[in-house]
Amino acid sequence: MKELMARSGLVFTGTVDQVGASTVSDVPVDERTVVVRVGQALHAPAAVDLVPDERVTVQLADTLPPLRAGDEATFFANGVVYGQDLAVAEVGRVSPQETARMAAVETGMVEHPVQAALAELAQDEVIEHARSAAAVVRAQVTGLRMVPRSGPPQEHDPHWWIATLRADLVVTGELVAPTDLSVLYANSLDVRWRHHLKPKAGQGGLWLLHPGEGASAELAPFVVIHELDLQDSIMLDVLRENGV
Amino acid sequence: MLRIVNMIPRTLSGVTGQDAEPNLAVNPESPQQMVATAFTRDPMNGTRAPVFVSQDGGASWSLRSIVPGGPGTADISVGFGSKGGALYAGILNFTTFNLNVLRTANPFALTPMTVLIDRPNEDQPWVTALTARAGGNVDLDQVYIGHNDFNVQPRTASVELSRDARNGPAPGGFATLSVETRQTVGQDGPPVRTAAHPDGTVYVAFQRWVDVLPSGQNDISMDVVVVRDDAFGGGPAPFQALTDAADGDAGIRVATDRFVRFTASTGPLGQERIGADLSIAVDPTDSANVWLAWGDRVGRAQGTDWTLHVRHSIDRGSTWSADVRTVTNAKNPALAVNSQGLVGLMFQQLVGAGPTTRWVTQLETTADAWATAPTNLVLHTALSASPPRTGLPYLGDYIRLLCVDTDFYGVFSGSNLPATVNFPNGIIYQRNADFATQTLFKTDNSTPVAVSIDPFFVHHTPEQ
Repeated sequence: MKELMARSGLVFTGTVDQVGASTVSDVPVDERTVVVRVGQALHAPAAVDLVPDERVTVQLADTLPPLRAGDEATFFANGVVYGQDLAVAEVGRVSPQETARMAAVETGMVEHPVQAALAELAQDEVIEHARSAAAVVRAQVTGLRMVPRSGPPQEHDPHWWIATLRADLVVTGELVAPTDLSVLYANSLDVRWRHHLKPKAGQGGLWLLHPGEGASAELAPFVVIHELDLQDSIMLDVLRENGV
Repeated sequence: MLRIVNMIPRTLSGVTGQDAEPNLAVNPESPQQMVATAFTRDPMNGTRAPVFVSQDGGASWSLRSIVPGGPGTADISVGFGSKGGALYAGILNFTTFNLNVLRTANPFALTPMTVLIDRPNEDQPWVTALTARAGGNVDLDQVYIGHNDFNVQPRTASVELSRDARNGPAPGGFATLSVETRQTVGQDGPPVRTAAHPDGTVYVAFQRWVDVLPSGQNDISMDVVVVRDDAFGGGPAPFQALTDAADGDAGIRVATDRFVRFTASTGPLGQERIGADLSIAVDPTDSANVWLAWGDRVGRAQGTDWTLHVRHSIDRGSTWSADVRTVTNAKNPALAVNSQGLVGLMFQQLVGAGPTTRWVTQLETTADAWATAPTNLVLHTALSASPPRTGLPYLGDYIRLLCVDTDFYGVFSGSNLPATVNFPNGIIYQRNADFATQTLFKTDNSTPVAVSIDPFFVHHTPEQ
């Protein structure tokens, strides 16, 4: 289930309505093109809202058996065309019986197996990100200062700032707590940088610190860029349990 | 005829992103076919960024992700060759931030575009394409991509040019050429705009950054410069056809010492940043007839304005008119000229004061260089404070207007609040919206969705 979830952005149950048909004109139709009536959306990004009884065009995966009208399945898929109707490419499929069996096997599970797999994937991503960090510390922001710019302005300038972190615990890395650390971050709201982590005064948690690259390495020993670079302190136990 | 369409499709009714900075390509051979872009992310946060496509003249749009480099782009511009249907894109790659030049023979297929150029230290690619024999017996796609190339500082205003972009493997004939001949403060401004005519005339406009002013490190003295080539950019000394008599250098300085306050990460104009507005268009019936628009601050360091200027040349860019149109507190000028010589100017103006200020997107057309009042169409008007921005640019650093034959086609971004008063000339929404309650809904047509910035398509057929 987790492996399928890692490769798909949409998961839904449904019943095949038509074979060799499409609700989306741009999708080439063959015997592996089916129209599925959605039963239940189990996972979808916020922008895509799969509604029960919605008809979705599914390009079946070459590696899976063909389907006939009336067949039911849980489909793992990715979006292909978003228009008046939706077309998706199947990456995996589980029978309704298999979905029910997985839910039953997971003793005591209160979540649907899809939701459980999603939570596990999100946790795996944090663990992998922590493993790639030069240091992981529990720390609080005690200072923020702008790095003076030289030269004319640029449209996609990162607007580097430096956060001072006071670390009271070193989880990984060649540091000794307590210590003060200088951490570079991009304070620009420009389209290139607006999703990058921007520390705030007093903010605390687990910081996943990365070495600077190129010219930025001369400004501070560490940089935080990724949205995952700040985690709640409660993630400390999870990281330790997973050998970080 | 005027048709305005919110381009977000019904199946993405839950979209709440800041889908700013739109661009547009219309297939001249088949104007029912269009490709548009914006800062719209792949709904699955996948490995390719989306484009909007329409095959019914812009009446309906769908999204598919065919742009390599990550779930979005950091800049994107598109253009069709005038024959054959190949589409070219210039992007800043979302993952590497490199300039990528991309090509596809059929943007309506679902296959990813091919990367022809991949180079770091670049900014703001702007694609113009046409198909011409260009001295031979075979039609070839001539593609001109204005870009700001920091690899050649201080003369960064450049054109990535191919004389046969449709054929061959990467780099598809593309090579870069700096069109700046003068000293700069270390770089030129971000926008480098191109306009190509089938007779081989190619104009390039750019903003020469002359100096950083004592009034502040974001205050720039700028010249607005136009260069020209008369042989599709293919001669031994490309883009040297215009010489400024005052200094003997290539490129006419249409305006000099213009004040720019360049605000990359603050939004002084209705939540939007300012400092890099530029557009150029050539008359398809007469390549001597060329139009130019840019933005600057007339009040200089003490001012608060951001003023658009439009000028006109009737002698192939050698001499220029005084301002034939100015618009105060406006940005994103987009010029185009139709097959009857009618000039279109689309722009976005901040109107009013205090909390009631509104972004008003307008399309003006004139047949006499604004000597008499133009036809003015308000395409969209919305409170400038809503929705709150999530980053910059808010509406975009550019919009685009094109002509095919007599018709004008354009794209702009703005608030998607479904309010009739915001669209005085009508609107078509694809995404679920209730204009009675001014509410957006998800695909289920019952869960409300927050107001955000959406791309809008406009198609205008002037009265004959």
